[in-house]
Amino acid sequence: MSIKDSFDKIVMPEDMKNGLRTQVAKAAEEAAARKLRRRRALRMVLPAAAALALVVVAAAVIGSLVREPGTASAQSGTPVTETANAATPTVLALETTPEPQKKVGVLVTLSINPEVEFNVDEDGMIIEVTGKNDDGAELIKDVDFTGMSFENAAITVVNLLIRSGYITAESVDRSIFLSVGGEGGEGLLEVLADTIRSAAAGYEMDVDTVQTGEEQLQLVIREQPQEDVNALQKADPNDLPLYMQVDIQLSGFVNTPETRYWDAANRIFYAGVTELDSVVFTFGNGEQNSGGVLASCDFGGGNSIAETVMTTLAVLDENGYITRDMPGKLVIALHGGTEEQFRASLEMARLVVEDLGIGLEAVPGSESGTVVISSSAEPFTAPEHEYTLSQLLNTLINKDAAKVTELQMRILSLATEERYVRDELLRPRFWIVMPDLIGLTEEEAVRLCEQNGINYWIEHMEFTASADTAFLGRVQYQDMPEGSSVCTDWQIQFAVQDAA
Amino acid sequence: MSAVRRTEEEILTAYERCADAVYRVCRMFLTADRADIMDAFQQTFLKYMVCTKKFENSEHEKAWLIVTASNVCRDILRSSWRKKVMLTDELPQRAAPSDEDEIFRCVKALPEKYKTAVYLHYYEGYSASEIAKLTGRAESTVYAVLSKARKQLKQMLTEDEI
Repeated sequence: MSIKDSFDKIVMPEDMKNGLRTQVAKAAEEAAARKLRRRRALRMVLPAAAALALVVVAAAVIGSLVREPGTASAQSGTPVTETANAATPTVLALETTPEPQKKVGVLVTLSINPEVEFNVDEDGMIIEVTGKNDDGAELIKDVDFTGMSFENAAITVVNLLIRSGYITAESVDRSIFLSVGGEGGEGLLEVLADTIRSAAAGYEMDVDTVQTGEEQLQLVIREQPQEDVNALQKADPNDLPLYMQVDIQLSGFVNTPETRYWDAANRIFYAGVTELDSVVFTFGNGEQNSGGVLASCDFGGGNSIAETVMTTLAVLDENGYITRDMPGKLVIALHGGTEEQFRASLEMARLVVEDLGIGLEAVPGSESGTVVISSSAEPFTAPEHEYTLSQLLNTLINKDAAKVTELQMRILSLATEERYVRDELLRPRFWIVMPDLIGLTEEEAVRLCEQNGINYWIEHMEFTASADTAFLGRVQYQDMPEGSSVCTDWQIQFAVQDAA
Repeated sequence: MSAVRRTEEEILTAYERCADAVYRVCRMFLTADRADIMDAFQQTFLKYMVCTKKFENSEHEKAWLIVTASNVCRDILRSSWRKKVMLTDELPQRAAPSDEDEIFRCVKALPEKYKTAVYLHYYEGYSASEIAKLTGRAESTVYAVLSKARKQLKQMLTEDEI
């Protein structure tokens, strides 16, 4: 007999369970109906109030004309006078009616030049967002913040600052002032500051925080510190012990002739779609680790080789396997791939290691090839490729939109004989902050994505019992997490519960 | 009443999933007085309906309901204690309900502050660090509470019964 067994015996009587269920359902239904009535009432009151205000203004104007001696209408004694007299008591009556008080919660202000004020209720929901100057009002004029959480409103405003050019890759040394008034606002200030930090990180910039008062913060955008590349010790990578080897086994790939710009760009970028068989890690001590560090990555069929290599490298990098003081060489060996795939993977490897200033060596083999990354290899010993893919990708990484477009145009004019879609090429791209879609209805999530300039696609799926908080019609999953940096070119997926 | 933040469907789903757990907590804190239990139960779900908290998953939601039910029960005990002290000198003795065994009665006899932790740990299987997060206490406090509760239970029962 245990405590658990004792508790197991305590079972809610069915009659009580059913009775309380009915009461809970009734309370929920009544409260929802009250909420609906309030909304409807508000919808009816607002136009009525606007109409009444118009009447009052018109009456006051007419009244003043009537009272003013020497005006034509007053002198002629037309029915206008009667209207004005009739209207005067209305004006008086309205003047004595107290105006409805606008609810004021915590006020959080963001000022970078456009100045925007968030009015937040005690539950962290937006009451109102207002522009405190002309630029601020212009910035938010197309956004409906109704029903938005403060977090999502902060992300939306910061994304608007990015998309309107107030925060760019050139914003180094720019200051943003945040302030808060009202109880419990410190947390909100930090949420807003965090959103700005994420936005700056999207452009590879840091943010310094200066506390200028108890309820004020000054954020200053700074360049990220550069590492000292010259401090690298140079040695022959062949002399180094093996640190880790990643074997990527490839099988056939598909070629499709492209007719559109982005298809062709993707083809070049990915250098052929492959079906991936396996990724095997071999550590220096001979121990094999299938998956291991990459267990969370999806390497199913249909992934491109470039994506796979990029993901492999990114995960290795994130897990601290690629560093300047690696104890040996890291080998990425491609088996069964083509020369083109090898080159693509080489470019990917370059992208990851270039910023670290560490060495990379490419060894084309009989079956595809090997990329050697080491802390002491001469940086980039592999030859340049004729179509300067590395330039394109490096430029992408540096987010220089103009250069990217120029390179893409050049490459594509070769690849597609100018059958590209110019508009798509010239569309500006921004790095923005991902809002939180989880728990929103599909309609709310779509609106939030559109207000933030995010491309999206929706999947309707049935979430199983393991995710039994999955409520019908609400977003359960988004592929980019809240607060992460996303590009306006990307397509963000979110999934909505499609079955009860 | 504050505005409802959840859909009827969400509320009913939570009800189906967590009603038994909330009921057990109410029974652990309160006497077998049906009205008190129903009152605590309803108040817990009313709080759930108007709260804006976003739950990470169903377990998080259930844990929140358990902790809320505990707090509601404590409030009821405080108010009813005052009421009863003022109105009567002697409370009528009730027979223990048939579904309560000796261990359950001992758990009920534990000090209020121990009960939530005991329920979460021994019945729901939460670790001390998880309970600390749920109840907003330091992890070391939870360990101390569980240890003291266990000691008291041991005194009331023979060791192998726990």
